[in-house]
Amino acid sequence: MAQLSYRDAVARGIAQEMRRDERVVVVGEDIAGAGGVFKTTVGLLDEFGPKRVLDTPISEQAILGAAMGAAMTGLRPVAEIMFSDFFAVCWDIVVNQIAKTRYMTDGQVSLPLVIKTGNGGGLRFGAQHSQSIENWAMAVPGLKVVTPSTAEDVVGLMAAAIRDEDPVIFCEHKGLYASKGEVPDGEIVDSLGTAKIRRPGRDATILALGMMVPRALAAAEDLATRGIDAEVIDVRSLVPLDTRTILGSVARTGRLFTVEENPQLLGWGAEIASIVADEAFWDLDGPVQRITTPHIPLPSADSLEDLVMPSAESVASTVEKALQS
Amino acid sequence: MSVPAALAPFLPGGRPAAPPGGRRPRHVHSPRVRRLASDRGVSLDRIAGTGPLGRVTVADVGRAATTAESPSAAVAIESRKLRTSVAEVEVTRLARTTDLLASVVESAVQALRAVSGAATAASRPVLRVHAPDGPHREVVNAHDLSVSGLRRTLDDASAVPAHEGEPSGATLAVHDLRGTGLLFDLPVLAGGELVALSVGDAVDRPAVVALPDGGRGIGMGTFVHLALTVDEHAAGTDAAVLLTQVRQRLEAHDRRAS
Repeated sequence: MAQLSYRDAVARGIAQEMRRDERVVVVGEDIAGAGGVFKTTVGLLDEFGPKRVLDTPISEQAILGAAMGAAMTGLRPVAEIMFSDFFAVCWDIVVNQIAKTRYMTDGQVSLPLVIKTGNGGGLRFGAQHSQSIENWAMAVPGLKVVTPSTAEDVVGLMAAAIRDEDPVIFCEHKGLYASKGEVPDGEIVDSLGTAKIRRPGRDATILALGMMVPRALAAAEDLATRGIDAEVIDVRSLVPLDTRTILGSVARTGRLFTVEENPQLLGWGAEIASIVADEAFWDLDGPVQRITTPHIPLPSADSLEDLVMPSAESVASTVEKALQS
Repeated sequence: MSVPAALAPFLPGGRPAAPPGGRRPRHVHSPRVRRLASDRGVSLDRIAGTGPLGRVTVADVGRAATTAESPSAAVAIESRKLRTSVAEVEVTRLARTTDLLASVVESAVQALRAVSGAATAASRPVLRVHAPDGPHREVVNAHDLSVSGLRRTLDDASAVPAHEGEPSGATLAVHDLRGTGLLFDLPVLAGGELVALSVGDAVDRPAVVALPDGGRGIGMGTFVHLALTVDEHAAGTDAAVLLTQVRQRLEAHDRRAS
C-alpha cells in the first residue's frame, strides 16, 4: 500500500497491462518523450521502448485512425486525446467507425481499444479545454464510458478497460490529477459497470462522477452536522451503468440527487432520473433533483468558473432545501 | 458574490426552490408515502403531516399504522380453501421478446395487489420463482418493480438464489415450466404461500387472430397456459377472479410488446 497521485496511477495502470500483454501499445501527442502533457505516461517510453509508446503529430483523427487500425489487426492500443474537448474534431472516427465496427461486421471484428482523455474543468483552462464530455460519449451505442475518481480506481478501471473487447472512453478528470490516494500493491483489476458507495447514509442518495465525488462527500459531511445523513455513490461507469447499486440506494433513502459537471440538458443524470422514474417511482419521497452547470460554456475567469461548477456548498444547500420542502 | 438576478436561474441550485403560488408543497403525498399508506391500510386524509409545510412523512404513516393495528385485527386462519384455475393466454408478441416471464410475474404481483385488501400480506407479496433447472430466486420488492426491473432482477446472475428446501417466506410462488414441454401443472402451495402460478411452455399453433383491417382470420399465434392455485380464505379472493386479472394484464403487456 502506497500513496499514489491520480496522474501516476494512470501510468501505473497502463504499465501493469503492458507488462502482462505485449499487444498493449500507447499512442498520442507528446505521450512518449515528454511523458504526456499531464504527465500521465511518465516512464512508459523508458520501460517499453519506442515501438510500443509512440508520439504522434497533432491530429486527433490520425491518432484514433491509427489506434483503430491497430486494434483491428490484433493490438490493444491505448490512445490519448489530450483534452476531451478535442473529441469534437474526431467524432466521425469514434462514432461512425470505432463504435460501429463490431456491429457492422456482425461481430467478426472487435475493437479492443481505450481512448484515454483529460476531461473536466476547474483548472481555468477556459471554454475549449474544460468540458466534461461523458454525456456526448454515452449517447453513442457501442462505446463504454468510465470516469474514475480515485487513484486506486484509475489503476483498476484502466486495467479493466484495456482487457475489455470493446472500445472504452476513459475519462481522467484533470482537476484530480494532483490528488493522492492509497493504492494497494500488486496487480489491480476492477470491473466496468460497477458503482461504489463512498459514504453510506439513510436520508438521501447523492450520485456523483469524477471531481464531483469529493465535492459530494464534503457536502455529505457538512449535511451530517445538520442532521441529514446522505449516501454518496461514485457512479464510476456510465456505460455500462450499475443500476442495481443506484436503485438499491434509492429504495433505502427515497431521495435522489445527481451532481454533474455538465449542463443539465441531456446530462448523465437525466438518464438515471429516467430509469429511477421507471423502476423506482414508488420508492421516491420527493422529486429527483440534479445539480449541474448552467447551460453555458465554462468561463475562463476563476471567480466565474467557481460560480458555475457544482460546489460542496451548492450540493449541501440543494439537498437541505429539498428535504425541507 | 453578488450575481445579477437575470443569471440566477442558470446557476447551480438556482431554480426556484419554492413552487409558484405560495407556500404549499408541490405534492402533498410522495409516491413512497402513498405506497406505504396503501400497504399498511392507512387513509392519508386522516393523518396530520409533521413534515415540511405539513407534508405527511414516512414516519407519520408508520405511526398511524401502528395505532390503527390493534391486536384484535389479527385473524387466525384455521382452515384453508384451495382452488385451482387454468387459462390459456396469447403471448404472440411477448414470446419474441425477453420479457415474457417478467411480464407474467408483474401481472401476477399486480393482480394479487389489486384483488386483495390493503394491509394484507398479499399487497406486498414476497415472490419466489421456481425455475426448471436454474436456481430458485426470491424477490422481496417485486411489487415495486416494473417489467424491466423484474427482468433485470430475475436475470441477474449475481443475485443470491434461494435454495430448494430452505424455509421460504414467499407469499407468491411462480413455477416456470418453460422449456420442459409441459403445458401446466397444478401447483401446490408450500409453506406460507397464498398463491402459486405455473407458466407452461409457449406453444405455436394456428388460431383465430385479429387482422390489421379489424377483421378476424386464421394465423399463427403463440400461447401459454397459466395454472393458478390460491388459498381463497387467506388471500381473500377466488382463483377465477385472480386468474382473470392476471390474464387481462398479461394480454395488455402482449398488445404493447413489439
